[in-house]
Amino acid sequence: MRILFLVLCFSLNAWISLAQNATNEPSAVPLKRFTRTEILAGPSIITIRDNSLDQYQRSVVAFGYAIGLGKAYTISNHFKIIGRIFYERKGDKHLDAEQIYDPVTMKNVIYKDGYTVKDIYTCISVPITLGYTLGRKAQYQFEAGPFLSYTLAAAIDVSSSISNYKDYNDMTKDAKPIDFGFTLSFGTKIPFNSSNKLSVNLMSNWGIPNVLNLSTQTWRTYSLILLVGYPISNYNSEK
Amino acid sequence: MKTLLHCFGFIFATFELYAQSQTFSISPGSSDAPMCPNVAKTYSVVVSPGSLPSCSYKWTAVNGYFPNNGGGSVAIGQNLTSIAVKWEDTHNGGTLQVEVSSCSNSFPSGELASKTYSIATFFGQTFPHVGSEDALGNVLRMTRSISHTAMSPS
Repeated sequence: MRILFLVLCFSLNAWISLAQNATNEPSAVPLKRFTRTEILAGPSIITIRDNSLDQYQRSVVAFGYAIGLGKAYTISNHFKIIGRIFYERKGDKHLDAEQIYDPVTMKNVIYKDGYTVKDIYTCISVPITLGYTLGRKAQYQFEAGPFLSYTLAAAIDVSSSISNYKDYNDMTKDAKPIDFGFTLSFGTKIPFNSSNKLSVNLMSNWGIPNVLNLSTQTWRTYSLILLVGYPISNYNSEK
Repeated sequence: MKTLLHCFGFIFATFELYAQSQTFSISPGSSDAPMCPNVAKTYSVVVSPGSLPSCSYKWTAVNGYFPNNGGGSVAIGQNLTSIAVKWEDTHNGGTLQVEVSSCSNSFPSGELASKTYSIATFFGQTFPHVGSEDALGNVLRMTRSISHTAMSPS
């Protein structure tokens, strides 16, 4: 935790000092220092890493989403520091076997995939990444950096169509308030109209700690977000 | 006046009898077939006659755990009237207990129901293999396999 804050402080410090240097030293290329603010949204494929499944459980693809804002600071022709803030839904989904007593045979019958279990984790995420832009006409951007998340809610949603069992277990009290990890992203910009471009990024976020305060369950988050951004401010309103 | 008192007495006695005959239990009961270990099974609280009270329910499992409620052997929740349990692979059987508290109606707090279940297990057992010899000198020549079938939900 301390290391993460040091990294974040270092990133912020570097950002500020670079901004100061940039104002003192005239650049050969006129750069717009802060890019336009973007509204960001997109679906994600989510999973919980280290969610140890037993022989009767199997993981299935689960979808989440992210929605938020983003802004970048241009350091040079190739480098940017990008800050984003999201509301994000993470978690996973798995199926589990269920045994039901059959009064005819007087035996317990095992139904494969009887239970559908959704682990739900919602948070406010703040990834701060360093981006490197490649290409001239078609530009591609690689990003890497840390993220910090504030937990909003954690829950397990269980249902069974066989036993008509439904349960929503609020696990928020068992969740840690903070998650953190690292982010990798790859993206490009697509012309949308004469003055605006859509940014399209494939962003993966690996959470490092167990977000639950339980010794019996481990949740380490992962999300792969297809993030589409659209500028909502214009250059004239920004410095 | 006497008739009125008799009427009140009759009504009171009826309610008292009704309250006393109300049973608080876990379903399914322990008379079912032995439970398969490590496969979840749903258990519910049953109040008969009457409906389930709005209370805090505390479930406790011995030789079992609640995979969808934090994975521990104790789970507490408001109106948590059903729960999935996974029994451990053990010879000792499992016990499931539920206790209510903080009920919003007149249902008595501290009401408790408990059931003990047998667990079908091969845990710790050794099986002869082809070529093994028993105390009488009989040598096992062939084995038969036992399979179980998992059904898919319809």
